[in-house]
Formats: sequence, structure tokens, C-alpha cells
Amino acid sequence: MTTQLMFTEADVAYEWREGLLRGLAISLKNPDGAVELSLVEAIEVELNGERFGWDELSFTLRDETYSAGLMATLTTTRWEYGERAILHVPYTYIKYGSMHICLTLRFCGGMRGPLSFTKELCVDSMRLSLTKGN
Amino acid sequence: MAIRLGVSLYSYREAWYREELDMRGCIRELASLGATGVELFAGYQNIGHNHPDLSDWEIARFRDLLEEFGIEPVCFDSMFGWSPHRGRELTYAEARMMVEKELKLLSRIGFRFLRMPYYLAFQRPLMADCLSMAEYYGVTFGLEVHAPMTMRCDRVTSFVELIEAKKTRFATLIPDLGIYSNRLILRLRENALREGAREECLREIDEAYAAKTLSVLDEAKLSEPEKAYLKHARSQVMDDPELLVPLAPYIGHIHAKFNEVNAGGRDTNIAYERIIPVLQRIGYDGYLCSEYEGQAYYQYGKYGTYAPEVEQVRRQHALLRSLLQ
Repeated sequence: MTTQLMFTEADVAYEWREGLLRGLAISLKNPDGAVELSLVEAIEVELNGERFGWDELSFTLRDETYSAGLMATLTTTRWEYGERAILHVPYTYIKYGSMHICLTLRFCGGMRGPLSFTKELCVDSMRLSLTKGN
Repeated sequence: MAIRLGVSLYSYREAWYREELDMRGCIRELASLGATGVELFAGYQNIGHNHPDLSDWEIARFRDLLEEFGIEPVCFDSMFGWSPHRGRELTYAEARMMVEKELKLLSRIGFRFLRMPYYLAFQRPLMADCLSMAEYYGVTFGLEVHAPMTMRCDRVTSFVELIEAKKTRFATLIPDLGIYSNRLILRLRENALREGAREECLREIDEAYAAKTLSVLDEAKLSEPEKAYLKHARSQVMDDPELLVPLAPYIGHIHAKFNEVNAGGRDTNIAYERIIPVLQRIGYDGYLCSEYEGQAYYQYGKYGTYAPEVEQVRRQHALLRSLLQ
């Protein structure tokens, strides 16, 4: 259940800053027990077949934004069970039609040891750009 | 004093995830049941960020919430103990410090029991070292007796020996009543049937479980869903509640585990009607904290339904109250 609700269509939005499209933001819930950020081994996203590796993404938790490299060193900051973080994906295209999102989250330790969670979802690209832009 | 009822918030972990219940909602629900104690499961519903390094404000907010609804903090189930460092385990000093921080926090909140993470329970030098800290902070360490353990297994015996050797009041056993599963989990059986398991094979497994002859079953003839059901059967335990009697002085807290209480008010899996009279006979006067774990069988069944956690806990409390009368 938690993997299914890790993010839904309502949790995906385009990110605009100073009138420019900066990418896609996914509001992502931790689907397992609380885990230190150092144990988030990787998050990978595929958008309409285009892959974004962990080093290309950034992660915001409680208003602090981290790179993958920085997160690996954070042994005292915990991402709580069910807590939302924002994953920023540098995807700067708006296309008509649906967008296929495949997100994999991997933990390399924590309460239940190494685990991986994958969720796939199709969303309407235009709905994102029209409702979430600013 | 009579047996008291509480709830482990682990029971509501999916409602929490779906943002239907927050901490206030959980505590309000407990109070509406007439429960008087709460148990927290670390890693799922923490009081604040970065447990155990909580701020004074986070602690005060939680204490005020409990006071508002007349709920007392009973037990904290620690799961921490893994290393946050990639590529190495915790050192002895780090593990000790983690335990001390947790004890200090629980003492400040008022929790009486710390359900130990298993890594600690079986590291004898660290455990012995931590017992003196437990005395200092006034928090009792509890070893959970969870399936496939039983009340007569070596780990329980060894822990009781440690309690005796240390002559401490700050270590106890916490039986998880899932060790009294007299029937296999019904919903798991239904899932297996939907996935193509044969009724006669499941019946054979049920009968072997009841007769304690699972080891002689021929696994080779089973399909994958049948093998999964057999694996489940082998992870379950049907201990004898009478074994609680000689261990009565060492039982400080109890997890009232359950997977399903049906609409008729019966537990379909665990023999509460046999357990409660034994607990009353030995004069147990601690808490029975409900611990609903049926979510997994909705989740793994993949039928798109959520477990009715709130309703299930309400049904279990009604069952327990009827048995306690």
C-alpha cells in the first residue's frame, strides 16, 4: 500500500521560477520506516523514457535542499515514515499528452535493511502545466 | 489492579500514511475506546523529527496531548540500532550512546518500558552495560517474545537468567500474543486460494499446523501460492498459554497482537479465549496493548483494499473487554 501511495498524480507539478520552467517536482512520501538521509542510496526517475540518475536530482526535506552527494553524509537527519520530501527533476519539456513516470527509491540500510520501491504512473502533462504553474 | 488496555499506534500505520490519522487523531481514537495507555513504534509514528534528539517543545507537546485525553505512555518499541554510516556497523560506544539517548528521552516523557531492538537483546556485554543505565533512568528494558520464539525458547531462558544474575527490576519479558496462533491467518489463506492454491493442499497444511507436523510435508508437490502458505505456517507458533505461569514474575508488558477480529467479534487466528484466563489467574496487572498487523494481508493480497485498522482495533477491544469481565 505504501509504495502505491508513495506519490500520486496530484503530487507531481512543474516547477517555475522567474517565469522559466525549471523542471518537475514530485512530492514523495517515505514508504518505509524512518531512515537517515545517508541511507537513501539512490532515487532514479524515468520520464517518457528519459532517465535521470541520482546525481542529476535534488531532494528537499523540511525546506532544506540536498544533492545526492551531500545526503550520503547526513547521518543524523531522518526522513520519517510517510513524511513528504520534494524531489526535483531537471525535466524542462512540456508536451501534449500523457507523461509516463517511473520512480525507484533505494535504501541501503535502515529498519529493514536494503530495500527498493518502484512506482509507475501516467499523468496528463497539460494538467500539470496549467494547474501548477505560477 | 486489573489488566489495563492500551493500543500500539503501529496498529494505525496505514491510516497515518494515508494522512487520515495524525498523532492527535490516534490519541483521540484511543480515548474513545476507553483505552488508557499508548505504545509507540519507533520509525513509524515518532513524536518529533530525529528521534531520540527531540526538542523540549516536541516532548511537551506530546505530554500535553496525552494528558488532555487521559492517556499514559506505556511502552516504546525501539527499532533503532542500525548504523547510519554506509559500510560500517555501529561501534560499541555509538550503540551505547544511542541506547542512553533513548532511555533519557523515554524517562522525560514518562514511558515505563523500552522494547529493545533485537541487536541489543543478544549482545550480552552491551545489554548488561545498558541495564545499569535503565535503572538510572527508571525505564524497564523489555525483550519481546515474538514468533517464531516461544516462552520456552533458549533466548527467553537466557534473558531470565540475566535478570536473575543482575537482580534487576528493570528488565522484563514482553510476550507478543501472536505466539498463540491456534489457526493460520484466514485472509492469507483466501489470498492463496485466489492465486490458484488448491483447497485440499491448504487443508493439509492447516491440519499439519494444528498437529505440529509441518516438517514432514512434501513441499515438492506444492505450487508457488501453496509454498508461500506453507512458509507462513512455518513462521507461526502455537505455544501453550500455561507456559506463562512459571514466567509470571518476569512479564511486565504484553503485545496483544491480532490479524483479524471478524464481524462476529471472534479472533480468527489467535486463541484469546485461552490466554486471558491464564493472565487473570497469574495476576497479571499490566497493559495489553493492541497491535493490529492485518494490514500486510491486504497489502500483499494486491486487491486494492485498505485494512480497516480503526474498526479492527475497536473490535479487538470489545473482544478483550468481554473476555476480561
